[in-house]
Amino acid sequence: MSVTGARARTQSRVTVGGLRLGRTAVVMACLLAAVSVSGCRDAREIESVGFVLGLGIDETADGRVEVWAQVALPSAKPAEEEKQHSWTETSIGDTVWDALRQLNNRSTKVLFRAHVRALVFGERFARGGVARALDVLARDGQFRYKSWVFVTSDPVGDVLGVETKQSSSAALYLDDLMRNTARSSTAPRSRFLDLLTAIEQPGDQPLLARVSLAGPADGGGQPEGEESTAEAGRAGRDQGAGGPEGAESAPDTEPKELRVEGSAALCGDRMAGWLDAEETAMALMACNRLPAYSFVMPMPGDEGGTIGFEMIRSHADTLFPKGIHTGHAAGLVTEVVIRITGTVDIREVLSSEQLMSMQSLDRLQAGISRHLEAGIRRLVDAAQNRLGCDVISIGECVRRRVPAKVWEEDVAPTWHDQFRAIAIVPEVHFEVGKRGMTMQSPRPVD
Amino acid sequence: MVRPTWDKGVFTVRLLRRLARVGMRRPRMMLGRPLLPLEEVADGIGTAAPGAEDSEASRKAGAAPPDSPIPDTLDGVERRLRDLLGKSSPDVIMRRVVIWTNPEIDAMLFYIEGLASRDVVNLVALRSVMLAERVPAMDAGALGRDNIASVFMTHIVPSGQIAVLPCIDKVVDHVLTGEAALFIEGARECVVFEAKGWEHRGIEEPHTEKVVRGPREGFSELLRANTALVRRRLRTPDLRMDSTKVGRRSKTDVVIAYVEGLTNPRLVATVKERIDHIDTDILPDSGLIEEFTEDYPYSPFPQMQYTERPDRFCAGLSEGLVGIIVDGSPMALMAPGNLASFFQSPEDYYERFPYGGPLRALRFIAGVIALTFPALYVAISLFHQEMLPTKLALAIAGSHVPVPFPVLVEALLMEVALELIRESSVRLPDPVGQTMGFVGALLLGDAAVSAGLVSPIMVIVVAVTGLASFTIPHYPTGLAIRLLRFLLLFLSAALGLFGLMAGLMAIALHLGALTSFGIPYLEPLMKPRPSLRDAVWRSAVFTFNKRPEYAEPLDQVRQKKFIRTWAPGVAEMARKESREGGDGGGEDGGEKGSRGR
Amino acid sequence: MGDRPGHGSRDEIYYTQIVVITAMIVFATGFLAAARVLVPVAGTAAWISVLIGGAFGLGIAVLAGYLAARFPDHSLVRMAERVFGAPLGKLIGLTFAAYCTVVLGLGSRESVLAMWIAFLQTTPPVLISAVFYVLIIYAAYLGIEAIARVSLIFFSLVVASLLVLTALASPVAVPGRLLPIVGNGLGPVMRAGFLAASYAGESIVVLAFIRHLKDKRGASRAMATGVATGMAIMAVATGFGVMMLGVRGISRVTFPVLETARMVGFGQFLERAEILFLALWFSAALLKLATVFYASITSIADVLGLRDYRPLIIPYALLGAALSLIPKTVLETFDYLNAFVRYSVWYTIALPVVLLAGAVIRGLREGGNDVRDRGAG
Repeated sequence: MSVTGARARTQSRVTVGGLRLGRTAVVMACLLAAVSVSGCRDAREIESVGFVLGLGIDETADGRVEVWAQVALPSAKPAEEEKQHSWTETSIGDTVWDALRQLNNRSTKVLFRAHVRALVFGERFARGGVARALDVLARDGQFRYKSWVFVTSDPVGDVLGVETKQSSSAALYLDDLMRNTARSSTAPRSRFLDLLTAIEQPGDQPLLARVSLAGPADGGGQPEGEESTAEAGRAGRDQGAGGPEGAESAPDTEPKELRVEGSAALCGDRMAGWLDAEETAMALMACNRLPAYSFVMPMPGDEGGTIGFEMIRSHADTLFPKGIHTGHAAGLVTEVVIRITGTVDIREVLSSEQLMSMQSLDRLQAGISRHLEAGIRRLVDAAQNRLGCDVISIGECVRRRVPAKVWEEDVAPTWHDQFRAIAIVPEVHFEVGKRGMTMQSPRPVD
Repeated sequence: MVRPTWDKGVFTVRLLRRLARVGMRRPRMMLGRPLLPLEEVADGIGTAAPGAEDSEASRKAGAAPPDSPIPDTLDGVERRLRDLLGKSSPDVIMRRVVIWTNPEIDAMLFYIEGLASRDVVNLVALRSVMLAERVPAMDAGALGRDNIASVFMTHIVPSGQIAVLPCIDKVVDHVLTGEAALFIEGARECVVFEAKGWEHRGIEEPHTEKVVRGPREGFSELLRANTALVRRRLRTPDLRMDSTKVGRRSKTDVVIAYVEGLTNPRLVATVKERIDHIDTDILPDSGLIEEFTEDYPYSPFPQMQYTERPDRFCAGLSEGLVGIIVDGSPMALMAPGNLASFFQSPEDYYERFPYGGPLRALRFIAGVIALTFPALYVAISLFHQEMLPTKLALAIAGSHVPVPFPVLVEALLMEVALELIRESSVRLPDPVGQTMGFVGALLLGDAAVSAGLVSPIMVIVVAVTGLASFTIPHYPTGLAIRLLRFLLLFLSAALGLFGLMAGLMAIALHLGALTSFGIPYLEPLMKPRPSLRDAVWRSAVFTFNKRPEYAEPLDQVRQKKFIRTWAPGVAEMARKESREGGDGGGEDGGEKGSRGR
Repeated sequence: MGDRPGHGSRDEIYYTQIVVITAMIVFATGFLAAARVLVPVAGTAAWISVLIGGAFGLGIAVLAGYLAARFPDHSLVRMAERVFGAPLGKLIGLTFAAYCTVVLGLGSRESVLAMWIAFLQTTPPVLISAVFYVLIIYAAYLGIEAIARVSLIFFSLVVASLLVLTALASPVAVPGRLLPIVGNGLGPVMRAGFLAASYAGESIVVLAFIRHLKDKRGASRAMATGVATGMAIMAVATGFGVMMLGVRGISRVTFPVLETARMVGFGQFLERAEILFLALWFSAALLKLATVFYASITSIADVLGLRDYRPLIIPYALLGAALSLIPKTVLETFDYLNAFVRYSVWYTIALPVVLLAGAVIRGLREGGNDVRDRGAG
């Protein structure tokens, strides 16, 4: 309605520099000028943006922070070679922000962290406390919550500098690796988001995926337990001089592949230790975060041989005894039952036992359950004794059941100690689902 | 008005001259003949009120200008006509005849060659007065000066539309619209009869609103042909066509069409009032009426619909709109317009529902794309690179590396180039124009990319935008969107998506306040009601049982609620409905059930 | 306000538009940071406290609706004048205008802050504020009808975006973080509910222009529906915030809902779409502020006895812009916000209660012989 009103108003003329303009025109001109002059500061031309694809953070021998950034170099030509050229640079500073600042100074483009695919922490830095890096990254509006987070015992620079045949830069390679769901059984799909939210609750500690260099001849899994810690420690000390001897069998000039297997367990924000592939899978299963898992086990019964499974569905419940909710015993947990149910598919049978009878199936199911129970017990043992922190999120279950005040004041400060003393009893019941297209193995008659 | 001029001396002289002229008997103006007094011009509803100060002054003085009666002698008539029309216009024909009465009477036939049809003049006038057998039986002596013309009108001249006029200036007016006059020696009146027959473009396919399926008749420049097209499609006696003349010198016929008993009388009165207020020299096209009568002429958005198709015109009339047809223009206007109507094309209705609905929705989406796509691209690539998927971001960055310009300049370059191509291809002759448009666009895009002036992604963005803007059926709306696109481009280059949103908000607020003849522009999109069935999406034709309400028609019911009662489920629903007697909703549901079979 | 060309003035708002306007007033500027205000008090039960606040707000809205039904063609100031006489009525009108001004300043500050911190980091916030206020001025010139129409369109877009957000967030959200259900305890939840009622209480702003509603009998229902919708949206936003971030996480971040939007993505190709959401929410905030602005200046115009409120627009806009720039840092803004949330509820309860009580006691209704009734204007 007041377009007419506004028009009537502009009949009053304003003389500006000899020109007779309506008042509205003057206001619009001023506004437009103000907007275009001051508003353009935020604009970044896209070719002057340095897209950081991968970020690596580690600690040097003298306690300073070293940061690697893998920046993409987009080219005008279409991707004939399918290679995304990138440039990796490192700098050392007192804190993460300091190092980032110096990196920025050395780069021709403005470093833009919104496309970081992979964030790799060195073991030394992780053991010292990851929270040192979290503040910068959480405060930064650019950083993606969905970036993958890794911990590595190899030199971070080497990890990011890998030139793989499978993909272009290492960060994109890691991103592609993690998207493959098969990976999720041997390594947790750890994102920055999980790290950020879980780190604040003592009952819900994150597991971070482990990435390591793997030479072309290297086949087996990672060394377990204290060995790897010691070696990794040594590796952390020799910057750039080559990785731990266990993992490398070739000179460091040869390009390596990357392997994502196992995980690092955090207690608070400090790394407590490594978990190997099987332990990681068990931990994820107990927390209900395991989408799929493949394993091979000896065939139960007398016939011998092995049988291979793929677990497609599992569900874990944590059962507490009564009385945890109320009273002064609230939060005092002495025994917990973890009940896991699920379904497995038979993928491979290498045995004379062909599972053609109901009894054999029952035996098989019992055998699977025993096998998995043993795995969980091993994990619980590692968590309570070797690592000393709650990686199976029992604390989170407790938090959901007790009043918030009780959790915050009584239980949470001492949860890890309490955790070490809890008797955790796994109960596993798995069923056999599909058998595939064949009922029996094709074999010659003997 | 006396215009102030810089030189006071000239000013004074002019003022004195004007004052001196007032007392003259025949006031002369700069450009021609004196104007007719108001009462003489009044014809039909509404008068074109000439605002010249002379006639104004004389009107205020209260004195009516003297009547200009027909001179007694034919020579006097001829002299008078030559005075009025110029001494030697080759197309002004004054043909003396002798009427074969007893005794013989002299007469003069007066018409404009080119306006009057030769056949009509020859057959109707000349033949009837010169050769008809009845004529000799007339006793001319018995007829007096006053009634001889009427007798001729009723007995002699065989024409369907015929009248007698006593005033020669009015006769000239009529002859200038294509009629012919028969002056009789000694008669006080003159016989004026219909003889229109000029060259005109026949009924052709409309140039601007082509459809794949549907009638291919379009309006032409001839008013009578257009009204005939309308009458053929709406054969109700309630169809009213009120005529008026607009334009001081052109005296263009303007017809206001509406359906009595359906169209809201207030709307009709408003339209008529606004057209009456128009005071202009000539009216070459209906577009000027649009600008004279719309609520907000400064808004970029059009507020009246126009169409070249009689079927669309009649559909509008049947929804309660008021139609305006202008002589000499093939574009008929319809008032009021609203935003949803500008995205409708008649093809929506002629094609079946499964295509009609999505097509209309697609057009709305295309409208939004045409408005915001370049601005969105500029905003994201300048401010919000985190929104892009990484591979796309790297691809855009890579394609942008050789380009020397910032993104905004690149976008402006391409948009301006596209506009140039569009404008130039409109003006080039047909065969050249199409090729030039196509080739120009291709060459420009390709060459620009090869030269490294623009990135290929920008070319795609601009091309998609151009295509989207062409899907809008109503050309002025497309123009408005083109204009606003530039504004949004600047805003988004300055403030990113925030600026884009601010611009869109401003446009939305403007649209929210816009009215067309008092009816809000966004009306059909407002609350859920039956007219929404036809706004963004077209529901099935048999669900349109209520008329759209935005024009506030008097009669809301358009068709029965359940039409397809031969289908089993529908008959049941109709029976249930009539048993309940109420207005249960969900005829859609009922119809859907029957459609599913 | 009826000098529109065309056949007759149509300064009318429909029932649906009142619902939408009320809903937008309730949630548009508040829901970004509501979790931050409520979670420290109520813990994981913040969403329950929002619902409790909504219940309070329903009561306020119903009372306001009754008041509007009692005086169908009066604006708020006129109502107050009729009930309490001219001087006291004008004073009440001025307090109403003051309340609206505070809402305007605080709301615009919050929205500008969200936009500034999240995206336009080097642009001076004055400029963002200026763009806001230019649009508000334009909307105020155009009148409440235009605002209402545009609100309907943008509200549907905002609701659609929130639905999309919840759909995308569901796979990532951890419902377990909402446990324990009672949060920090019943007492704190009720306290937080009372704080949340201040958001719902902002709906009394509608009283300034509800006389434009065509059918006043639906006023109560419309306002109540609007308040319920707005608070439901806030509850969902708060709940999802807790689910995605956890209690500690919420206390850590500045704008929880914005962080929630940052965390979700649609497949690989649309991962950081929070700017789209923010742009839509900015439009909702703008419409809310335009409505509040309009309510305020019409009240001031009524108090001063002006026939047309338009001359007041630019001075009042400058006042609002200046007020919104008073809190200079984020911390100050949240301080003001906390204070507002604690104390404004009393005013929003008091206003309709006092007026309604006065009208009932004095037995006043619309239609009495009051020469001061100037009717629509």
